[in-house]
Amino acid sequence: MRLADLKPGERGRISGVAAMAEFLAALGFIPGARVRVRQRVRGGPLLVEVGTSMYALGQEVAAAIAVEPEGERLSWGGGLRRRRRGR
Amino acid sequence: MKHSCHAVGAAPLLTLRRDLPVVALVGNPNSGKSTLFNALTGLQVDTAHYPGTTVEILTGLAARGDRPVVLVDLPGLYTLRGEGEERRVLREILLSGDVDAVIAVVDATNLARHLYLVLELRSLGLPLVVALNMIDLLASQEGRVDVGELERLLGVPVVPTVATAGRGLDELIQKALSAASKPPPPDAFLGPEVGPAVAELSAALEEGPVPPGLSPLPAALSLLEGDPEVTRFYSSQPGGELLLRLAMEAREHLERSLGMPPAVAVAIARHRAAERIARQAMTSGVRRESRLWSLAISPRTGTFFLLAVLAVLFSVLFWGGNFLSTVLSAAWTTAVSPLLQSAVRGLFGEGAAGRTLLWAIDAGLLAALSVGIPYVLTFYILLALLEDTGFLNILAFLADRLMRRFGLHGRAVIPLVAGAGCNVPAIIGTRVLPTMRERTIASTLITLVPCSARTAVILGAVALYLGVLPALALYLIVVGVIATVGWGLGKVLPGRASPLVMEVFPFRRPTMRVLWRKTWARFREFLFVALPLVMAGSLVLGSLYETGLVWRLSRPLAPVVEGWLGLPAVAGLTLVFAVLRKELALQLLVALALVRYGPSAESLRAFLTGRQIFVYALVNTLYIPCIATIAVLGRELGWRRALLISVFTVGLAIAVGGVANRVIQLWG
Repeated sequence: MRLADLKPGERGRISGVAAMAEFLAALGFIPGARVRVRQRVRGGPLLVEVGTSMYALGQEVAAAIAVEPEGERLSWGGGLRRRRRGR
Repeated sequence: MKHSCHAVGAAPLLTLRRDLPVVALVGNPNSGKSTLFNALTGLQVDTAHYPGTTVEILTGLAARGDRPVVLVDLPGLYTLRGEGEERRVLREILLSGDVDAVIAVVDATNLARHLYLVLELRSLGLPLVVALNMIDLLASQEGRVDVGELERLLGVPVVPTVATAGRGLDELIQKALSAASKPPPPDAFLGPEVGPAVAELSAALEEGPVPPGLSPLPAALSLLEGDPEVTRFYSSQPGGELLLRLAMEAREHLERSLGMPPAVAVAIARHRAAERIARQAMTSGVRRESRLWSLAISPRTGTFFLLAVLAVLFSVLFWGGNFLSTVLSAAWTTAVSPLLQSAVRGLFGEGAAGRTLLWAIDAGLLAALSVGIPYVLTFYILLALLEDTGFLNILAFLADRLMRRFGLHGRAVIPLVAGAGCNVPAIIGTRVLPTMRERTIASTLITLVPCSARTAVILGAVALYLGVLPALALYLIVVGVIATVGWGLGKVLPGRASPLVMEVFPFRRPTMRVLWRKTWARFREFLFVALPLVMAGSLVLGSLYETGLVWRLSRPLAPVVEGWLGLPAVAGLTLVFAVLRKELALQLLVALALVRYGPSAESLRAFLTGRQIFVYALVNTLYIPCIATIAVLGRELGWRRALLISVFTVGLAIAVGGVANRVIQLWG
C-alpha cells in the first residue's frame, strides 16, 4: 500500500521510499517510521505526521512512499468519497 | 564544477573586512535562522548572489563583544546532501575555508528532526556551535532540555536562544568565536552497520590528499554516499582510481548486506542517532494545535480561510494601497513637485534639458514612491505576517492542487493574488517558490494580472463610458489569457512543477519587532533596486519626448496601432509612455489628444469609439506592466528573462487586442 492510499486519520509504518529517498530520509521518512495522515485535499496534497513533524506532501511524493497500514480505522465517509472519485 | 573565486568573497562586506572572523548561519527552514540573523546584525546587511547562481547570500556585521564578526546567512535547508543549486552553494561555502565557525540553528520544540542537520555538520568536522532556538516556546509547552547533556552528546557547545526576543545572542557569538580556534574532531554518529565501513575507508584515505576543506572521515563518508564532487576530486588524483575502487566495493558490500543504498543507510543511522540524543537530553513538550489551526488546515473549512485571506490581501492592497497612493501623489504634486521644478528651472532654465531632468527626479521619483510605499511596503507587512504565523504554508497546502494545473507550487497563490494590487511586490514575493522555473512562470502570469493602476484605466475608460458588462468581459478575457499562458508555459518550459514537500507547523505568535525588521530589510532592497532604474527609465522617456524624437519613433508603430488594433496613432504613443505608470495611460491620452485634435478632444468619447476604448484598455492591461516591474523582473530573474517576458507580453497584448478588435467589428 502507498502512503497516498491512506485516508485522513489512518496510520501506517513506512516500508520503503522509491523516490527522493535521501531527501525524504532527512525529513524523517525512513523505513520503519510511523506516519499518520492528518488531512488530504481531494486530488491534491496530503498532510502527514511523522515523528514530531508535520509535512504537506504532494500526491506524487506520497505515492512513492510504501506503507504497511496500522490499526486501520473504518470510515464510511472515506469509502463513499473514494467511489465517487473513481467514477 | 568548482568556482575558482573564494566562496563568500563575493559579498562586498566580506571583501572589505577580510580581517574579521566569519561566522555562517545554517539551519532548517522555519528554525528561526533568519530572525536570528536579523537580530544579530541590525540593519547593516548586504545581499549578493553567489557567483554564477541565483542563490542569495546575506552578510552582515554583528557587533557584540570586543570585536565585530561577519555573519553569513546561508539558505535554509533540511540536509546538506542531494541536488539543487542551494545545496551546492551551501557546501561550497562551508568547505571553502573562508568560514571560521558555523552556528547551527535548531528549533528546540522539534529537536530530533533538527539535530539531523547538526549531525551532518558534525561529520564534516567544522567548528560548530548549536543555537537551541525557540527555547521559550519549548518552556511554554512544558518541555525541558539538559543543555550540558546535549553538549556532551553532540561534542559541541550549545546555547539556548530566543531569536525573536534577542535572548542568548551575546553568548552565542562568544561561543562561536572560541569554537573557531578549536574545531571538534569530526564525528559521523553512525551506527554499528555503516560506521565501521566509513572508518575503514577513512583509514585508506589517510595516506593521500583529501578534498579541500574535508578531512579523511567526511571524505570517506561522502564517497560512500556517492557525492559527485568528492568522487570527481578523487578521479582526478594520481592513485585515486584505487581509492574509488575501494569505495565502490565498500558501497556494494553495504548495499548487499543492508538491502538499501548506503546513502539511505547513512541517513537512517543519522536519524536514529538524532532521535537517541534528543531522547536522552530532553523531555518534549506537548505541541498544542489551536482550534483555529485545525479549522484552517481542514480542506472543508480551510477553503473559507483561504478565500478570506485572499480577499483581505486583495482589498488591503487594492483599496488601501490605492488610497495611500492617491494621498502620496497629491502630497507630492502640491509640496515636492513645485520645489523640484523651481530648483531645476533655476539651475537649467526653461530649456529641454531641465524638463528632461524633471522627468527623472519629479515624475520618476514619484512613480517609484507611489508604487513603493503604498503597495510594496503594505504587501511586505502582510507577507511577513503570513510567513511568521505559519499561515502561508497552510494556504499553500490548500491551493496546491489548483496551482499545479499551471505547473506551479501551492505557494504561488499568494503572489498571484497580490499581483492584483501591484505586480512589483508580487514578483519579489515569488521568492517563496522553490525553483527558477516556477518563479519564471509565476512572474510571467503576475505581469498579466491587472494591478490597481491598470484597473483604474479599465474602470475609468471601459466601465465609465461603456458600462459594467464590457468591463467584466475584459476581466474575463484577461483571466482566460492568464489561464492559457499558465497552462502553455507549464507545458513548454522544460522540467516539472517541483513536488510539494513542505513543513507545516502550528500557529506561531508573530512579534512586531521581527515583522518590522523583516519588512524593512525587504523594502530597503526594493528601494535601492527600483528607484534608480525607474528614474533612469524616466530620463530616457523624457528625453525622447522633449526632443520630439517620440513623434518620429511612433511612425513605424502606426501600421500595428492603426491597422491591426484599429486605434488612432496617438493612442499607441500613450501606450509607450504608460510604461512609466500604467494609470497615466488615460491622462496622457487625453493630454496628447488635446495637442493633436484641439480642445474638442477633452472627453475620450470625442475621439474614440466604444470598440477603440475597449481595445485600448485591453492592450494597456496585457503588455509589460511598468518600468518598476521590469526593474524587479531583471533583478529577480535576470535581464534575459525580463526582456523575454517583456517582449512576450507586448506580442500577446497586440495579438489579443487585434483579435478583440476584429471580433467586435464582426459583431458590429
